[in-house]
Amino acid sequence: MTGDYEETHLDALIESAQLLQRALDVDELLRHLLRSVMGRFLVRRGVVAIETAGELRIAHARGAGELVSGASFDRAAVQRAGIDILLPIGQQANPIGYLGISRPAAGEVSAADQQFLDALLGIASSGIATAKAHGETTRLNEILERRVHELRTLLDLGRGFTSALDPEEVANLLALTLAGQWAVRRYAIVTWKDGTAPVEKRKGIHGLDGSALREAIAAMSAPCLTAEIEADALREQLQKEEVAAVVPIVSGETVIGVALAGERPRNLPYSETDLEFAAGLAAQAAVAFENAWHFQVTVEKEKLEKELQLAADIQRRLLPAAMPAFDGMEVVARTRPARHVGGDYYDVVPFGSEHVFCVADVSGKGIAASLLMSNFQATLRALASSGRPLAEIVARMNDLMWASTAANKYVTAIFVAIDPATGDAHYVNAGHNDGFLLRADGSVEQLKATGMSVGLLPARPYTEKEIVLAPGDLLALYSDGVTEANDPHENEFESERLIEVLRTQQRAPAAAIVESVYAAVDAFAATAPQYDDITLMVITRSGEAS
Amino acid sequence: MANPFSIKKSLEGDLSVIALEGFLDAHTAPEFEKAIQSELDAGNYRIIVGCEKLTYISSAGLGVFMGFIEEIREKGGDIKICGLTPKVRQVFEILGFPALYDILDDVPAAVQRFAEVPTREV
Repeated sequence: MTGDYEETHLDALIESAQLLQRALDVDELLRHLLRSVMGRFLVRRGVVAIETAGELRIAHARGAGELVSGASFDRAAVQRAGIDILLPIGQQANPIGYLGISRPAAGEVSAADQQFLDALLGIASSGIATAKAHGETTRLNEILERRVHELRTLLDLGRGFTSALDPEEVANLLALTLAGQWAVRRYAIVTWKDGTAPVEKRKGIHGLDGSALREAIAAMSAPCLTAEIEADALREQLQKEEVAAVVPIVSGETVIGVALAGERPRNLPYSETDLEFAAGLAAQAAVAFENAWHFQVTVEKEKLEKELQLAADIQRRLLPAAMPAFDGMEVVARTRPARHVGGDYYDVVPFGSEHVFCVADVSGKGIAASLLMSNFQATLRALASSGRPLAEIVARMNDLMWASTAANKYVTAIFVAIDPATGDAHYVNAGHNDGFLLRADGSVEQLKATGMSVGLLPARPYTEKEIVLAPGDLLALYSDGVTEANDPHENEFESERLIEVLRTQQRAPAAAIVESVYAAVDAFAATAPQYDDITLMVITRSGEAS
Repeated sequence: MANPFSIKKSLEGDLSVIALEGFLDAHTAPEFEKAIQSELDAGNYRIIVGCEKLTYISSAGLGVFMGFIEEIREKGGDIKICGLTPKVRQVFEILGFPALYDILDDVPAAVQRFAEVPTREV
């Protein structure tokens, strides 16, 4: 043995040690180890095995055809492959691997060679530990990065949801986020909350309709894998559609929808953490869906309010801005809609030497009632100037309105034509509440119906009746909102109470009479809500009773 | 807007180039989705997405790529992604996107890749 020889060994050892310690990848390190030793001893066959997942496996083999990477390390098989020398890596008693070579061309392994090998394997062993630790650190870092990204995704989605006012938008954001997070190409978001339009966002999953899903997923509270579902019709369908994960969207206790995700690329499995993450996304989505639905309802309500406001405006404009003034006769009218818009209407229209005083109740509410009312007014005003008798005018209005409105739309109305100079009057009551003519002596005449509601049936006869409004008389026309006003015990105000108030106020100015009736109705109703409009027209003839 | 996002479209021969700028997150992902959809509507299935000026991408942003890729590759086209900044690249890597998409350094490299590999397996 010469000094040169030892020096050469030392150089090789240092060079190998540097390489082995620098290698952060176990695989690379083993390959280098095998290469160095085979090169050093000029052998044609070599193998290196390492413990992987609790078992010794062949990492690399050279010149030993039967031995393949990844196979279990079998001592006998290794010997059969012509590997004569087998050296443990790490502790002799409990090695983490083996290096094996065929017998060197130079014959026996010398003591110096043996020392070289021991040193090299020692370095390799610590190198492997370092590389393994590094691999583990890298793996942990990757997991950590993924977790951090998951948190970021939850935050990002939360921010996105705050501005999503449309359920479709919520579904879209949820779908995009799941697709991105799991790199899936096939997915579906479906919702089915009662009272809302179903939302569906699908890519590549076309079967499994909403109602089937609703039934099948009603009892599911947490995300699960298709493979974990008990074999049933749902699982069969999910498999057919290649759905891998099912994520219920739960609001409170109720499942309101589901997110379905297809297989991940390269058969990457879904982990427990993936499903937990999905549960987080779904919880956020549930809140966002609820908000969006709530917002829709609010918008709808606002639209309705606006419509009602518009209808109320139209209606207000239909009412006469001011009552005409008459010598010896006073007229005051007032209407109060139950809510924004009602269907009551009153008017005073010139009619030859007379005026027609009209109180009407239009069926329905809102815009539709306003249109009907405006139709009614236009027809009345147009026909009033035609010079035809009152009954004929009402019959004509009936036919015109029957022809131009839906079957369930009609108007009850009382028309009283009065000559203010004489008090001579005649009236038509088309299905409306009785008018009350309160005589100066306190007796009451009822202006009962003389025909059917306007617009209900075609070609109806209407009769005209004569009355006289003598000085001191009071004529009250009103809508059923007055007589049918409810008290908290659901008793109605009724005609008797109305007549009672009229009697006590008989000598008062018309405006005061109207005021008193309203006050009496309000006092009667107390806290009970009123569902009908309250309309009252009071006509008084001044002068002492003859 | 606190996190501006914008899209610029151009043509590179017969390839559509969609250049992204700013924050691609849950807020802005639908805009990117529309941009790709409009390319498909116009029959353009060969798309380069330039990310040189993209400062952030969220999962929702990456979801846009997933939503279209099947249809695009079935039509023989592809989406090639280029110009990732390190921060954006990291997100692509965490979620395993480099295995699914060709990711190139810049637009010329993406054009070159289209010449070599017009499409990939779905």
